[in-house]
Amino acid sequence: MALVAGVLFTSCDLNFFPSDELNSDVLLQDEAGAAYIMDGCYAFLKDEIDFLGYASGNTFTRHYFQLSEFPADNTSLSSHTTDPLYEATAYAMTDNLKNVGTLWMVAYKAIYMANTVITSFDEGTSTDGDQLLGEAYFMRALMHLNLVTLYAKPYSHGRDNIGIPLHISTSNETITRAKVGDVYDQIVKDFTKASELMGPSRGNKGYPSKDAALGMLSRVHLYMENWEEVVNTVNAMLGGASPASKLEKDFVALFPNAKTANETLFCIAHEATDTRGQSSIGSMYLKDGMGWGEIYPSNTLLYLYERYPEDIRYKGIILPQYLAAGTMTAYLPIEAQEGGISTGRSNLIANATPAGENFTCTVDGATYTIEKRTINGEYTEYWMNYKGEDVQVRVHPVMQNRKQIPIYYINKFSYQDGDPMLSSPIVCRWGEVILNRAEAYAHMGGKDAEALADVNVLRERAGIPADGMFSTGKMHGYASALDVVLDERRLELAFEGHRLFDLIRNKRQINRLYPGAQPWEIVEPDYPKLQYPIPNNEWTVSGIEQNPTY
Amino acid sequence: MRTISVICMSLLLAIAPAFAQTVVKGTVTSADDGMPLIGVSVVEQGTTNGTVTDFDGNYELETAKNATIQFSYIGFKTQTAKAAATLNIIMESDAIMMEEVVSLGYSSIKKAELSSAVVTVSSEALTDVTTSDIGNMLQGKVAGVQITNAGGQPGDAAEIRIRGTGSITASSDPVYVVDGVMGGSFNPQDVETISVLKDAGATGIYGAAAAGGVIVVTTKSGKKNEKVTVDVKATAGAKQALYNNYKMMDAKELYGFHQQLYSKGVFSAMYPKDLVNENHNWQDEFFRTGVIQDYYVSVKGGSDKVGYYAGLNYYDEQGTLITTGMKKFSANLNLNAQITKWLDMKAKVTFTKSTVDYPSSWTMLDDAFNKMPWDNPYELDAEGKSTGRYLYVDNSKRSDNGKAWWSQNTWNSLNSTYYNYSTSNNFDFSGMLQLNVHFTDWLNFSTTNTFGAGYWKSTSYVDPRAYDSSYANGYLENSIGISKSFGTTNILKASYQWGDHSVNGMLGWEWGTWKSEYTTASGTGMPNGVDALNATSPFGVSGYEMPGASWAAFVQAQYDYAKRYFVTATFRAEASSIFAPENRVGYFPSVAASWLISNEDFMKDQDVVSFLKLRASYGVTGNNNIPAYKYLATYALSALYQNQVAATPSRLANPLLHWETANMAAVGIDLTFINRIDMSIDLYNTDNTGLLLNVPVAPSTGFYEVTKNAGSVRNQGIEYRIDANIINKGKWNWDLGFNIGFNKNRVTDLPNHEPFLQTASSVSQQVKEGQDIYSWYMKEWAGVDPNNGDPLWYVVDAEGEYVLDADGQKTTTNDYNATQAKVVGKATPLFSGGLNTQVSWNGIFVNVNTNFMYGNKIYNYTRQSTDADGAYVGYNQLSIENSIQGWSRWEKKGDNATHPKPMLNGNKNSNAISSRYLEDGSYFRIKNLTVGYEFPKSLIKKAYMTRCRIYLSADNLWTATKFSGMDPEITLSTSTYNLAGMYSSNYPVGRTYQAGVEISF
Repeated sequence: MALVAGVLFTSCDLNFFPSDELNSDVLLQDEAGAAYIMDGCYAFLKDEIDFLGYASGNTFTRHYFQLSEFPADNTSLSSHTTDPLYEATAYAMTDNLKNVGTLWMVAYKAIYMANTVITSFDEGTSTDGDQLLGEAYFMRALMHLNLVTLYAKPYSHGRDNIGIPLHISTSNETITRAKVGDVYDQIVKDFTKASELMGPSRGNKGYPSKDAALGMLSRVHLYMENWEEVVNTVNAMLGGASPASKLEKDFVALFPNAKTANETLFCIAHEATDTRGQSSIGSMYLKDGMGWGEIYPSNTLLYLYERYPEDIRYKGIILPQYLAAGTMTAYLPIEAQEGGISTGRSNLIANATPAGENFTCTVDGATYTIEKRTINGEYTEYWMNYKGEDVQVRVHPVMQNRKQIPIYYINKFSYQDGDPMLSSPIVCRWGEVILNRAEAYAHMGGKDAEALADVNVLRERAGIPADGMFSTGKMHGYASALDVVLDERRLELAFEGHRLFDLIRNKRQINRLYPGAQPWEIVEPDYPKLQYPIPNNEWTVSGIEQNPTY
Repeated sequence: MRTISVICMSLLLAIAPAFAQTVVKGTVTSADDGMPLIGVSVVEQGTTNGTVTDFDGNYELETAKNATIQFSYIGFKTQTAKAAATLNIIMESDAIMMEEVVSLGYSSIKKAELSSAVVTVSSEALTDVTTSDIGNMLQGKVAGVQITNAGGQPGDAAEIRIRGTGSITASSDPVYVVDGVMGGSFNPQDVETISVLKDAGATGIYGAAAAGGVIVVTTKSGKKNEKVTVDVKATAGAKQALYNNYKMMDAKELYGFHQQLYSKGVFSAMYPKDLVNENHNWQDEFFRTGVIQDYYVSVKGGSDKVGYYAGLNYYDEQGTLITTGMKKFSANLNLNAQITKWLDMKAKVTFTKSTVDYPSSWTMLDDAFNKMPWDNPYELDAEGKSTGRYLYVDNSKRSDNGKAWWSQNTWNSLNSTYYNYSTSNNFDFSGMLQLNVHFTDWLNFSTTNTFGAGYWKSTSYVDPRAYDSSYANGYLENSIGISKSFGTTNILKASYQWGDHSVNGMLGWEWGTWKSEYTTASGTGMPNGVDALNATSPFGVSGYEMPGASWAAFVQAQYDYAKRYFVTATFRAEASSIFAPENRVGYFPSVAASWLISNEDFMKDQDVVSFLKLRASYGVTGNNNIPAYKYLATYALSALYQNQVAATPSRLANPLLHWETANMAAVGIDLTFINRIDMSIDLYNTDNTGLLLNVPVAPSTGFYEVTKNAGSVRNQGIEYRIDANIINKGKWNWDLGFNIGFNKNRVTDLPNHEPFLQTASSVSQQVKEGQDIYSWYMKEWAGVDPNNGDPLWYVVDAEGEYVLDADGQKTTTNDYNATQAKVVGKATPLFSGGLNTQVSWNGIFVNVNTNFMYGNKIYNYTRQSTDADGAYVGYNQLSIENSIQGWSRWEKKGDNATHPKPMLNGNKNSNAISSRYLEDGSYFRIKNLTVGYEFPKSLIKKAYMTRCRIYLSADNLWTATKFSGMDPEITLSTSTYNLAGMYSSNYPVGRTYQAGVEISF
């Protein structure tokens, strides 16, 4: 009887299929499937991922925009936080933190999805099909670029340095780390292919386009020091139009409206329902009802902006939290803990009493003079000798402080749809592309005028007065056009994830002598901790080589 | 089915006997007290002809002349006698209940004839603790069964592990068989007995789901001709949170600690001196003494054709964490009826309704423990007096007086409790209809059909007035789940005896189908206080349904010879929709044998050993406890991009997935001395092979894990149980019970013999051949450098070996990244068990029930932020001054301290994951103490009572442990967020004091 029943019930239907899923064969029958998968790719970058025991705030975009920004010199962290953005800021990374692990996993998942589309569809069957294929090549290149810049040394440090696993098929075989040069070559190939396959985007700037691919290509060529290629690519993109015509007039409105702004080439589109509240990118920079507001612009960036206070990139983006009745106050960076270099510096805060051009302040019962210095006949700095050390002091009306650090909120990742915690972070925009060309010119030699002209386009849009423009005859104290361009990139692209790579690929030191929870130090461009560790769950399984010092 | 019954009925008619008849009459009384026994089964041997005694112990039966009549009654020795006109029987009680019938789910068997490791717990022994969860009731009462409280949230089920953990990815939970139905539901108060089936000899028949063991539940039911009994039980009491060794810094200690973190100038600028007087205990605000109430009433009884049982239970528990609690109402009706001579019926209806209140904000537990004592949770008026209302906070400045808010998190979830809530409402209904057809005295057929339906709705509400880290304008989420299931179990049983031989057989098949549906909708932007989705802007919707089905066929044969030698063989074939079509069917054979030595002739002449039995069993069961569809390569359509449906790959598919198999071998001995001391020793070896494993794959492939059948785990163990009746003299009675289980767990095989890591919240355990499956894998803490207060770790190379210096000593480093992880302990205990005792004198009784665990290591995750040497200045820290572990802080050169020098933002990764936070999880706990009085029968008779008992009881009275967290009971379940044995801001269990009364009429 058991046998009879067995036969009876083997034939009974035990085939069920999940009601909210599609078989990959069914999905890949036609182009519509490619659109679903590419949208899945972008969605995966913005969505919270349950991974390694984390969910809340565990998004690719948040991790990427923090990991690419906080180890540089634009930001200061006001105090330690349980979020591993601290470890990224303080070069204290370990290979099991969620940000390095999640970013790596999501990037390779997006690469896998892009590869699925690339291997499942043929070119040239339809315009829509080619557009989607182009998107797939674009995403594969973008993800490989994000990975190689975060986990490997810059291209300019040597083509033969160890790179990252390069995945250009859907094979699930694990592979070893390719050389940096080989990774970049593939990225160039893929962005080029993407630019050939795509036309205008299939919607707003939340989808890639031909221009987005070319814009990224200009960045990759810049990183690879192919100066001519940068100039050619940007010129082709412009097609004779003036750079200024590609920029948004209202710089401040660009960020909350990134999805539709003409200047945007590609952004990761977020909808009102994608708001991440206290776990958004903006939450670290801003407190407006919600948000932590724990990361402020570094003193060195503030000094640079304050040279032209009318600069809209300062005036419209940085929000100093002055107390209503402001008295002039001196902020003197001193060791937060005696003998504790790694604990960073905090501020001594004291009333600043005007004394002619200078100020005086009283600390521990002793009165000190804060000396005004004029630099290059243009900018003012205040210095004080405290306990034998010459220290630059900030003097300004009294402000709200967080752990002795004056609060300057930053709104570059806020106010889309009026939501202080919502933005569609920009991956590439015309402002960058123009500066890519500017930097290429500056490196080429003999093209300084062209470089400075591009810089001035951005400065004009920012509302800097005419005497703040650069020319080969008026360098405002800068030694080279390259120095000018790099500072302009810093001003224009602050917090957008460029500064770290700009400094180390140009082999510049990272000057972090400003107060905050991060160590007070100057970092050399070949410091090994500027590359992130290969995540623990990667190297322990695939056996690929870990980065030095981890 | 219909054809079968017709055939069998004709068979019955054909063999209807026509012998000479006689009438037998008599009274059955108890040898103990001479009282009549009601409901004694009186059967003409070898026939289905029988009756039961009435209220006065009388019976009357028409039998064949010269017939042998058998008298049987639970708790008494079965007797036989030759038919006579008057036959009065005095039945002797069976002290050790060898005739006790043990339910094995599909069948039941006399305890003496068991060949397997089965432990039975009665309802009296279960319900000493007051809880809504059966697991909690079983804790410490069964050898080899490790039970762990999940925490203090009312309604949470305890975790049960029978004979160790054999699975890694698939759940190791046991399966419940309720009144013969796999996966049935029940209310703990309705339980008559529970049998825990531990080896394959007993569990084999349940096949693919039984690898974690089987818990057989028999609910109360009325017997035929049973006197009407009304049972009333009421308990009420109070429950307080139990912190054990957990002690945070007070205002003064914290002030001194922060003083060490800052240079003088900065500290005096930041920290006002009067902070030391601002000492606010946040735990006292978040935790309360909750009221707990449990009321139960039941009626049972029976006529000559019908037996009935109806039970009602109301359970109300206020959680010790404010805003949490549970109310549960359940009703159960069991009915059995003799429809015709050859057909009886059993019907059961169970209904349960419960409301569970969860913490109103998810941050509440964290806030209770890491808020700074300097922050006054109450709003202050202009004079600085508390207004009695919790402060609203959304900034690092207080909203009342503009002073600093010291805590890192700028919110006060106490204020949010005025508005927010998180509740779930659950309705469960199940109906069962069983028909038993007695074809002949040796052949019967039963069909058991169960229908279950469940409905739940959960609501989370965040009011716009409450500060919320995710939703500025409020948030409302309503989720609804509906589940239905149908199952049918059909069993043909036969038994036959000739001479000394006895054969039993069972043949069955079952089929089940189920479906669950889930819908959720959320909205935001509602006006203050409006918690209806209609009043919101839509935020999200999702939903799906999950169907499934399975079938099984099984056969069992039992043989015994002369009640001395017993053999059972079982075979089950089973298929489930969880697996791919080609791997759907699994086969599960088992065999068990035993030798009842005490029935041998050579044992007859002694009276020391009253019972002695050897048992052995071997069998195969399975585990299919994984989510469905793991074999399919699909894309999930649950994501959205720019409000368009988007597809993401669900998984790396594995079309070869099949059952995990557990090969269980066990031997045991049961021994009773002088009818007073009863003990069992069991040895087992369980090899789980083809483990369902989420094997990590390199994330660079686009996936980070794949579910495979790979690897093997071996559990070997020994269990010992002793129950002794030490004193039974006059008015004195003293029983003592002790059980202990040792289990050794080893991973014996892995894919390519490669170890891999299980990681959650960045903490890892290494799964490696030759190791316990829950082996903690992290950098090894080497203490504090006496010279400079630096943290130190042992230097370990990539192979996990210590790097030794020239003298062969382990080397240390203060650079966290300069060393590698190694195995530093395991989360599974060496042994666990319980010690129970009951003493009574003249109606006064004292019961003590304890449980213990030894040799496991707990990773205290919360210490990464609350014992962090200055890394987190916005979180309160564990007290060093008041630590019971004798902690000390490094202050000056030469100090041999447990804690490094405090450094602002942390001292060289000292709070990174390492064995520093791995703690001894051993504990001994007095689970329950009950003191009560049972009124003498003579006294209560006048009030028409048959039983009256009052008592005072305390749960979780006392715990001995070195663990620094609140509760050393940590579950071994693994999830995306938690590893086995990991402790992280858990809701502490409570200590309960209550008074109760039990009355029977």
